[in-house]
Amino acid sequence: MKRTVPLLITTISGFLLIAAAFIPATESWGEVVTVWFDILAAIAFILGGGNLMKVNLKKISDRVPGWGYAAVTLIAFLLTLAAGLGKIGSPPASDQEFYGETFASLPAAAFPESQVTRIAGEIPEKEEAQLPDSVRRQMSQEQGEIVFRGWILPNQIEDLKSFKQTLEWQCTVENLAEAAQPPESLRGKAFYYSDHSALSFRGVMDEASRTELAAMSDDTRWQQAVDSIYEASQKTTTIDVDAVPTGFAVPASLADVVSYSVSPQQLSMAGPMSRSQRDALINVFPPLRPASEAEIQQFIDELNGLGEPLTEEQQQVVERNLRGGWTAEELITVLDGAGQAQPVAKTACEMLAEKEQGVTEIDPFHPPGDDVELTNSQQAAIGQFANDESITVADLVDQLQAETFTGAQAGAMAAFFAASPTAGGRGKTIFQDLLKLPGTNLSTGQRDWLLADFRSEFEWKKSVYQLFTAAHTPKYTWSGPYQSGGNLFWWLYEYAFKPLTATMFAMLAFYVASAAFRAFRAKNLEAILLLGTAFIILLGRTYIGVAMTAWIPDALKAFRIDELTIYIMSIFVTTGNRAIMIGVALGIASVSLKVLLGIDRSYLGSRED
Amino acid sequence: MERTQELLMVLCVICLLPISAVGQEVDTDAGEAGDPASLRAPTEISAEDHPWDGGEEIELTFSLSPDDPKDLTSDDLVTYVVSRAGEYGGLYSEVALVVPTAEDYEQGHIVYTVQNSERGEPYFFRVQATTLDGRTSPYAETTEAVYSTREWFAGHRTWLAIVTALISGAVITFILLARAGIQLKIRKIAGLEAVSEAVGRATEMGRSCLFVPGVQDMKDIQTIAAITILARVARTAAEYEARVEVPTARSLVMTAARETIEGSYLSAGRPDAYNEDLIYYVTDEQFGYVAYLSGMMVREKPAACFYMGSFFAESLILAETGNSIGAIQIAGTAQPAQLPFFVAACDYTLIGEELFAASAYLSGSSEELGSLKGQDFGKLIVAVGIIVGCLIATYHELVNNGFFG
Repeated sequence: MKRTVPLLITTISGFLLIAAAFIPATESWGEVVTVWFDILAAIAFILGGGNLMKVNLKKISDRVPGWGYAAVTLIAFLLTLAAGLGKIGSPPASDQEFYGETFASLPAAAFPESQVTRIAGEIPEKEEAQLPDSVRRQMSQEQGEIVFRGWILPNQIEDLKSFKQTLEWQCTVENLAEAAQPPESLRGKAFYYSDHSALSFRGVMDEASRTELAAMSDDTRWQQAVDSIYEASQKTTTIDVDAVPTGFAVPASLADVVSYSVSPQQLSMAGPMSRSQRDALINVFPPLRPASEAEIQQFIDELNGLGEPLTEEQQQVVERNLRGGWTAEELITVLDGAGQAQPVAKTACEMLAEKEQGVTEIDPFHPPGDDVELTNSQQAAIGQFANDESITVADLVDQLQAETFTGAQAGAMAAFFAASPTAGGRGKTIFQDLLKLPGTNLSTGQRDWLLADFRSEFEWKKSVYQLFTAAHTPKYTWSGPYQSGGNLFWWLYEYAFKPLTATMFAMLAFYVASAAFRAFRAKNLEAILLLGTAFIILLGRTYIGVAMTAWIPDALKAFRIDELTIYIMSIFVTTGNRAIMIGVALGIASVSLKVLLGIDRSYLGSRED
Repeated sequence: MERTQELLMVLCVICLLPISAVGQEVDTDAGEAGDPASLRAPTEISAEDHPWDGGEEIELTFSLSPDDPKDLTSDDLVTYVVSRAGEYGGLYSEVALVVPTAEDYEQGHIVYTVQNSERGEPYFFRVQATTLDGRTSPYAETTEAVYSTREWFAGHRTWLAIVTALISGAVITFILLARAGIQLKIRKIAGLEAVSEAVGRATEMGRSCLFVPGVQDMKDIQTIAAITILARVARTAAEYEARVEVPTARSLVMTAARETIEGSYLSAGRPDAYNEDLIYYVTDEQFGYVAYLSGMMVREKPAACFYMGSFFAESLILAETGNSIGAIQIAGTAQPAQLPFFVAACDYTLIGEELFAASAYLSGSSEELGSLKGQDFGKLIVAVGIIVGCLIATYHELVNNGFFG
């Protein structure tokens, strides 16, 4: 029995894996067997780790010579295990966290009945597939209606759309997406994640939202969830900041939630901070305007005054960077391009209506509208903005929006300015470009002056990130990778493990030399051939070897040492390798068959049960 | 007579009409010929389930556009956009842009395999010819649904199945022949003959034997082969009263090795001599493992070292360290890149298939020896295949070069 069960497991698993290679229906079985092996290996690791501790503890307790090394081994093992398992210092995975939202646990059964959506329609039945995992718990078919418990999320809409590729189903999904939403006042704020069994609210929950949510259901669990989110979202996070950007003002979009106090210098955030709020707070530095000739000269003069005067080449680098900013014409071109009418996709319901009317070739897009180009006054406003630093981006937007100015154009303008350098970015680029020039020797004063703006921007960004992290309550603290950069495990790996591994690997060079010294001796014909081949190959891979035979004419280039090297490696070595590999493959087949058929059972232990 | 000829001509025309398979109804809007601005659609299109697959592929066959210049270098190169929908006249989404090959031009049609189809779901296809300058043709489309189905056998592995059956059949046949009592001669393998000598030497010197079963886990066939050799080595060591130490790089290998050695000691009649502490786990890490082994070899100086299994860069470190302590070394691996190091530094090396033959060789069992003969049959098939392939390739080359006129 002791050998029979493992033998059966071996035989069944082995033949399953063979079947999985040839029978498509059993492909997943092979994957399951492989997963089970990995599970077994993981469990076996506990045995191995336990054995490691036992062996080393015994050496320590017996005080055998060298027991200190056993102690070091044990400490290193336990430390690495703790660092890896505990993920000490690992931040949560950014794709697992919901920045800007506050959560409360809420099982699906406690979701208000008043928010259950019912629409007419039928869930398509598929032979070999069920509803997508993301909606299976919430969606059902009841008496000719599709019932959805909860508020549908964008990823669920996409999963449902890809479930069936017919217009009728796509239209049903669109109708469901529109219906299964929270009330208008809560849209974009309240969410329900059935996978996480959690209710969430984006930003600070006000009293009106709380009342509206509480009124949806009398269920105690629902009430508790709403109250818990309300209290948690009122939390205000405050950090000290060393410096703020010159002329800093809280962006209008964040005025409700972000506040800054001058004395003491503190930045506060009400509720959790989302990624877009964080980015808006970081990007408070105005985009640089195109520099005039006078400004360029002033810049160079200031730089010259702080150290050695710039050489002509250095001046050219500085001028190139200062002139290389954006121009009003470029911005106008970008905005005119963004104003070109784009085709708007039709909804599935629109296309379904066309199909029912008998249209055979359905165009998925509406005809594009008219192009929108900037008027002369809008162009003049941009030209004025480029030359007048007192006009802010917000002022420019107001002027442009006084006439026709599409959302796409506004987005293109925001992207344009986001990509253009700030004062700090330009200063850092000039500094780096100057350093690339040979012989550049900038003084400390020049360096500090060039990098001053960059340093203040960097400090500000750090402060905002600090506020962003402090205002966030991690949902899955241990979701980050165990080897994320900067954590304890990473330090141990980078600065202890890798150097030790590299040391062992480097020792190979000496072992190769000693093995070669012993093996490459012309004792007999085979040894002479080996020595000669090694000589050609080694020399052929060095510069001097190639140079030694470079004089051989092209007609006889096959005798050049580098060509000989290639020939030997590609013909003789490849042949030998392939011959060995053929034998190995046949050997593997034979051993595998013997093991699967139970002919060779030596790996199971004694023949006697 | 004339009437008969007319009838025959009509019959020929009917027979020459293209025949298409399932879901094939041709529905094309060919457009006007002769107009340089227009592009005519492919005249035929058919779709059918790709045979002998897992049910994710559909084979689409369509003719070239009559306006296709059939020249890959032409400025009017015509490519074909393939779209797919779940219902006829529904929303088609593009699945491929097909560029014809020289073979397609020769045949006059393109066969394209559409991937990622869902089993049991209906599909309709459209093909539209396009040119580099943006001209497009009307659609050629299928009007009947085609379903992809899963067959019981993966057709693209047919040859693999045949070869597997041949070789497995040969191995099993020779095993049965051996069982029937036919004597099989196996050549001597020096490395395996030396196992007893090595263990005996260790016993005489009062030192231990070191057995390293490679750095891979039990799912590697080389490790399994190493464990089967370990069983024989352990039995010999039990008979000679020698110590066998087995540090492993994988926990599962440690567990398997313990079971194996315990069984060997039991079958040698020395269960009391078995010490499980001699088989222990060191570390999974390659160089950590070899660092431990090197240190242990230098300190304890085993008299016989066996390196059997899968090795990588650490092979030379082990072999050279063993050399430096004067141990007799027997190595065996199926890693071609590591064999030169073992050959240069060890006393005996099992090259490639000899590692897998070792268990059969050491056991002497007729069944296992029969499997070795089966391997030889496989080699015969390979050799014949190589020779035939070389002859065909040579002949083809000579024909291309006009050697035969």
